[in-house]
Amino acid sequence: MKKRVIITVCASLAVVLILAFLQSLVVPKYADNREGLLVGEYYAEAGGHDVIFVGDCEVYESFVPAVLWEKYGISSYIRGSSQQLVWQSYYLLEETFEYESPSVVVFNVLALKYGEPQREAYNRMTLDGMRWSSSKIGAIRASMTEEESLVDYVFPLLRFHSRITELSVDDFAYLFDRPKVSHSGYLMQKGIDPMDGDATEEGRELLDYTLPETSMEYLEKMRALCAENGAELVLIKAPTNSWRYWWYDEWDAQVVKYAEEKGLAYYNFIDETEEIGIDYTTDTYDKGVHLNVYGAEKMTEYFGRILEEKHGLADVSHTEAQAAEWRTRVDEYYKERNR
Amino acid sequence: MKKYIRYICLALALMCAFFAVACNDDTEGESGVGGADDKGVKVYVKYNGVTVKMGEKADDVIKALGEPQKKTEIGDCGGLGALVKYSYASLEIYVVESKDNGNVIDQITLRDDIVTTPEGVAIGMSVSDAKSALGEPDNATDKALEYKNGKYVLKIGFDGDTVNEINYITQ
Amino acid sequence: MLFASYGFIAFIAVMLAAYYLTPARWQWITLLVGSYVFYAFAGLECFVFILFTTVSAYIISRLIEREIKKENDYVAANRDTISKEERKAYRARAKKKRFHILLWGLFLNFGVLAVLKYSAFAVSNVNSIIALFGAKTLSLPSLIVPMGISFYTFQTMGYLIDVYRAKVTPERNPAKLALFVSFFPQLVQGPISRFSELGAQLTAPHRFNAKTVSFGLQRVLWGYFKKLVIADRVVIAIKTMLDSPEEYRGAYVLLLILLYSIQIYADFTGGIDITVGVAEAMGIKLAENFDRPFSSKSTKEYWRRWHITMGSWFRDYIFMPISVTRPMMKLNKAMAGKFGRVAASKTVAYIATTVTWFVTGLWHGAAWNFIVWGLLNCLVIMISEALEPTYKKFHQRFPRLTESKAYSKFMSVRTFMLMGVIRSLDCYGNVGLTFALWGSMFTLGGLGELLSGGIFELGLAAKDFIIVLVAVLVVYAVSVASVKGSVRERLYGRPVLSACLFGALLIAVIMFGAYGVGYDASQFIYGDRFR
Repeated sequence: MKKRVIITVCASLAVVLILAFLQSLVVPKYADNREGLLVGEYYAEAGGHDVIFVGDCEVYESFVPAVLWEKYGISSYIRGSSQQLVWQSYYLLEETFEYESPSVVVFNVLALKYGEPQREAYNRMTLDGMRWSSSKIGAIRASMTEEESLVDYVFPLLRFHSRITELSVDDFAYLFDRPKVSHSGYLMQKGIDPMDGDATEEGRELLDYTLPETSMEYLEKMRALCAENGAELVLIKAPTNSWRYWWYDEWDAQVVKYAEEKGLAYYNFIDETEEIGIDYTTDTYDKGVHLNVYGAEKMTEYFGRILEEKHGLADVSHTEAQAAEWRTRVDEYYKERNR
Repeated sequence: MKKYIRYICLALALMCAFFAVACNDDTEGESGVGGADDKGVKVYVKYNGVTVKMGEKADDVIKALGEPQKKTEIGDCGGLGALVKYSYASLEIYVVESKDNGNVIDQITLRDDIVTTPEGVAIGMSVSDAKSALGEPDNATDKALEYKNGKYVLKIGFDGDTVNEINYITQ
Repeated sequence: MLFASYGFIAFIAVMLAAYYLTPARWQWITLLVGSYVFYAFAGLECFVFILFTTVSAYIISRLIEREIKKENDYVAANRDTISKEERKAYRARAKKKRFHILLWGLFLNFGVLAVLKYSAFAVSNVNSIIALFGAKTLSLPSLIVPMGISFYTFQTMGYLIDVYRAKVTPERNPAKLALFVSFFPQLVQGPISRFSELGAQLTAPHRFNAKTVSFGLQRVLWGYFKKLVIADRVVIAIKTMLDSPEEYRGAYVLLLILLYSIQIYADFTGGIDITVGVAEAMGIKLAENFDRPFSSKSTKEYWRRWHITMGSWFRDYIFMPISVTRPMMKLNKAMAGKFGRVAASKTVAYIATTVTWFVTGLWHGAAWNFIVWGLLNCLVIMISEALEPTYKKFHQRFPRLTESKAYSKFMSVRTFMLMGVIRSLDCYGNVGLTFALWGSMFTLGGLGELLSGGIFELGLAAKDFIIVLVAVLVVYAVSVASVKGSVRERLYGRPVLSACLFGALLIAVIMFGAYGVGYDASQFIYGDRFR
């Protein structure tokens, strides 16, 4: 009997170890879709930031923390991912406050358009990178589409098992370690694909121009969370405005009204491209949907000034250790930019 | 024999009490979640002899319609699927491209009065004529009438008493 | 709650823990509560129906019991005062009375089943007739079909008939009868148990026994292997072909028949493995529903090995009673005089067989394709019966051939194909279409397309077919090994090998199962049909 128990225990352990290995093998490595790695990179740099950006692609493609540091001495991090939903931003922010106390939180408002979870693949890109905490569970619960279940997040093997027949070299190369893809949350895009005739296109007709209730509720929760943690919430709309991700005047009016009611700053940069200096023939890598690194640098410089002048970040002090870390980050940034 | 008939009648009478419980309320399930059904407004238009229907696979439709005047395409940030707009003289078709579901017609916008809805509603028509063709809307605002079919909506926009926009939209 | 869901696995874990933590004499109450909780997941409104069946079965069975007691008491008390003929006449009267009470139970319960499951089918048929005369058709009723209603109704009615036949003593405790009606593992897709086999087991105490529990869980795992690795993967290609059957003719029909045979076997036997395994883990032995059916050499044998509990139910409660009804007896007698005894008894048997298969078809689903499916099975069985003397002669003429292994394999393959072809009626769902597609098989159209890559455009890639093939070979190997006795029992004596094999099986289910996001969560076919 004793022998049988020992064999059972050993076999169970072996099965668990094999499954753990297989899990590492089959979970996505995001070698092509680098966006999937953004959220997980935060923890290596967590703490001591003056500004935290939260939102979708419009934050991680429009602001460069290295430039913000270099030009203004502002320490920042971008907690953004592909089509990051408002509640995901909320829970990421909630988690961030466990690690640090930024004085300004910048939220890009485009994601307010989504009142429901969109696609499982996007959820995965945002949620899988989060460390386990009550915030992660909250984010999963709020984000799951009908086909998903919490168990699949706890044991990603159950979700990605079918990849066992689709493995690539990357799955073995990044079995235990993922490559670093961002510069403090900024995902560098150096390509240039100028905006063409499509620039004149406007967003398609919608059924209803009211921003979804759920998004507005989470925006309000985000405001309360910031207030609770002594951070100022600043709302922005990135300057890009392609017809697919069109920012409707009706939406803008609702955000303006909300910001006024709550006493928040709201900057819509769509109409300020000239002041910012953005040239859509050179500053976008995908025909104006997102900014490339050259556009993002201009946007960062412009916004840094606003942070300095209007949000009390003119004379922030940092320790020598922090400054040294940032010097390294800035060097790394330029190394890649000028490569 | 009479006895058996009596049994059957009594049994059926007793069972009737149960069937109230058994009435299924989920009859809308199919149309509510999935595609269009026969009960709601028709969600297709005919253009140059080709039927363009909401939620249908787009490839064959686009092929049948021929080269569009303009095709604009925008990918999404995660590289998971593009939104493509095919512009024809009287029609715009929006197609969501997806690795999971193929290319699906997501929106149809009528650009002029050459194309009408299957009920005969066209841009430039009076709102009252549109209403008499389509019936009472499921929803009405001061700018539009909405007719639903599952997850699809026919939105008739108007300015004053004239229809100026006709859109089939996925909710 | 689906078997292939995390919820079900969690439910089983909780149930097992609760079952063995409950004091032995109260274990059956835990089972009853668990079964009702399980049933509640299917919708609270369904409770009314299962409670109705339970309560009506309880009352009817007690009434019948009272009649039996009354009859026996009377006969015992008057043993010396009444003649044998009087006793016989009294017993006949009493039996008739019991029969009328039984009829109440049968009418009520089969009536509920008939209305819920078949009224839409009936109305649609009436509509087709009405439409011929151009009259306005009736609207189709939309009724819920409670989960497992066919299974629990048949099981409970079997119990009532057994009580009537005085084969079992009725259960006095209504809660215990409620457990027999609602025992959760078999609610979804059977097997259809007999009270004489299951009743006492359900309420008996079962102490925790590591071997029993592990054997049960091993069987559950084996069920999931068949269901998730084979059935749910193959079903993807089947669905593709069924979505546009007109496009997939000729060789594709053959492919569909083959794949559907694999799918339904893996799905149904896998589901039964899970059911039987869960019960076994709680120390309860359920009736086996399959006995290597695809090795059958004739249709008759196939139906003794496939869905055994259903077959025996129809034999005992439909075929047998029909064969001995008064009109049948009269017919038998009349024919025996004119055409001889053999012809008379054969005619009676054929009529009873036809009725039984008609009802079997109807039981499988409220549609014509199921009825035709049942009647075709019946036809094949009757033709083979009629031709039996010819076969015998052939076997005697060529003993070396007919006793060879190859001939035996030929017979199995022939039966497999024949059953597969008839079975395709239930996936196409349309009798006319099915016949047309059967016809297209002989043209062999589509073979070139199929072989030049068309097979990989049905939603399954080459690697999927490889996974299925390997898994089918594993199932086949285990099936062959089980002829010599329980595989688990033999492995029990070799714990290291057993641990390795079941560990590998678990990993295989997790890694190669077609479940989760991206796969269609297809239902167990029988569960779907027999809610």
